[in-house]
Amino acid sequence: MIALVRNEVMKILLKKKMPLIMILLLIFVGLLSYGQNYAYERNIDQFEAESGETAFDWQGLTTQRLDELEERSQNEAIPGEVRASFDREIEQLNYFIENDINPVTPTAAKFNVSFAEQGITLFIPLLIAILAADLVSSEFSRKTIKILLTRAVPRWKVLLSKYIALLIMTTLLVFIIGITTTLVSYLFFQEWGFSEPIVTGFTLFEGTLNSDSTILIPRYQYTLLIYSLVWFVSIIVASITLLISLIVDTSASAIGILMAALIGGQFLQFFLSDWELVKYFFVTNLDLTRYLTGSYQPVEGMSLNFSILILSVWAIGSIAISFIVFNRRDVLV
Amino acid sequence: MFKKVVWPLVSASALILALVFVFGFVTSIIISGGEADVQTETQTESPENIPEEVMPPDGASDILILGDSIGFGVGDEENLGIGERYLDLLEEDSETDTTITNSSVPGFESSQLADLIESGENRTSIAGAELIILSIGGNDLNRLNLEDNVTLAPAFEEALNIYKEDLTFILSEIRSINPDAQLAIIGLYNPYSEDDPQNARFLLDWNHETRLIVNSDAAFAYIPTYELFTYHLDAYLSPDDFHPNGMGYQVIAETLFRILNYSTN
Repeated sequence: MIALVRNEVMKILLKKKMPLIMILLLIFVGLLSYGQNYAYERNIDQFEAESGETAFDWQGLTTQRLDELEERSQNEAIPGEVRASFDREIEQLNYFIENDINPVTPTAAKFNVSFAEQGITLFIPLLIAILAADLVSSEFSRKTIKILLTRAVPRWKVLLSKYIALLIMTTLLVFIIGITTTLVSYLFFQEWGFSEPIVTGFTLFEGTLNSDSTILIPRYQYTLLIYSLVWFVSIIVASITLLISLIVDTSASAIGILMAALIGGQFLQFFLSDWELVKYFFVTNLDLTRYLTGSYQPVEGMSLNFSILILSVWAIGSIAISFIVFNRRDVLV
Repeated sequence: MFKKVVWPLVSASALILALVFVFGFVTSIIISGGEADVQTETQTESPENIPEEVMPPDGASDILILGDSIGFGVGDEENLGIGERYLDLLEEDSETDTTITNSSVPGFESSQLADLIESGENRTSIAGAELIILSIGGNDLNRLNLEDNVTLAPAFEEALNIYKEDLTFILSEIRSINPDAQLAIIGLYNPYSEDDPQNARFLLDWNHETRLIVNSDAAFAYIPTYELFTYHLDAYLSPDDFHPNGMGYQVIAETLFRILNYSTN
């Protein structure tokens, strides 16, 4: 079994998929972090030009905000939980002032998280699709499936080894995305920012976003949490792509179908947000990171647990169908 | 050679990474999931705490300020707010021992103020007040900034109707507790003057409706701020570009003084 998995990993590596994905990543990450740095510097310049050559005084603004929050957190007319959330923001701002860090400076730790947040619905699934789309279909199109299946190994073992190999490569890919975004953006920003505190832990309470239960954690822990969610989503997408790759004959149509599903799903979400059924579609649930950042419009009945459950059902369903289809399939090539 | 090195490397690192990711994944679920119970507990506690905190020590004072962050004085460098600044103006004229109770809560919308008054927490301070300054509605209106162009107009209508009902309700509640007090409401100014003219129209509509309700009561004054602020946003707004600064509050307090008090100088 291990030999089979190893063989499949080697096949993926020898197809030179990883270098292709790496090049794509480097191009996009490089462009994005250059652009973000450019926009940031231009904003600062513009601000300085408008305010008459004075340097951008973030300390003044932050201190003012801090004073206001402190005053509010003393106000006894405000309920205790709300004041506790002020205290967390005060703590966060104090960190920035004490360490002389401008809170709006772009850092590598911010960039890798926002890249994951933006990419989790489309870009990262597409990279996974590049990896997974021809896993089975290429065996058919190259007619190597015959050789594979004439070995004295049950069919389910063949598929399972392919699936495990895919999981291994997906895990590595998520890691590579994290490392690439961090390193490349560091080149541009010259700022790690991994120990800055960040607020997370928003909960839904009676349909509204609740910041009372938020906690303050360092950026590196936050990055880990975000990438764990990206990893989970990637595995779900990989499982679904495996099924698509099994059903169609060519990898081109496999990628096409997945892209149509991803983009179509975004449309569905946009146009039919009132429709109950839409929230059971896997694409609608891919954006898991928003539940950590708290930057979303709460949708009735949708939470992190709900999305994870729906995604898991889709993945388990696709794997089950994949095995059934692969076992029964007539191989005529 | 290549194969022999790569396979153990790939499999081992994938295994370790998978463990790390599973750990992070479980942590994220715990962070954003299981705290709903804690929330319900704290919610049941808070109503008991608030009344005793809000109640002024001797039960009543002469000026009561109810409402949102503007009533509270957010943005004022000297932390005086409208009430203290108004009191200073009164004292210039004649010695008074007037006291102020400020029960404003930054962020309050009209419905929250209506709930607060209905709950009866401020009953004693309302009953004992000679002047009640209201500042409400800004957050109702400002919330509409989240709407897009299509939903803006109906959302505005809805918010305005709710606001009108709330303000009428607040007025009748206050009058049932204290029929004699002088009331004053701070009108809304437009902190985004250079933006959309549509927003300015909404704001004027809003102020107009407020005026109509104010006019229905004999001792209820409308304190205009729109005209005061329009040409002086830079001078009157605090650095958050939303709340007034000390000068802005001073101008509001002076207008309030001019409207309510006859002064010989």
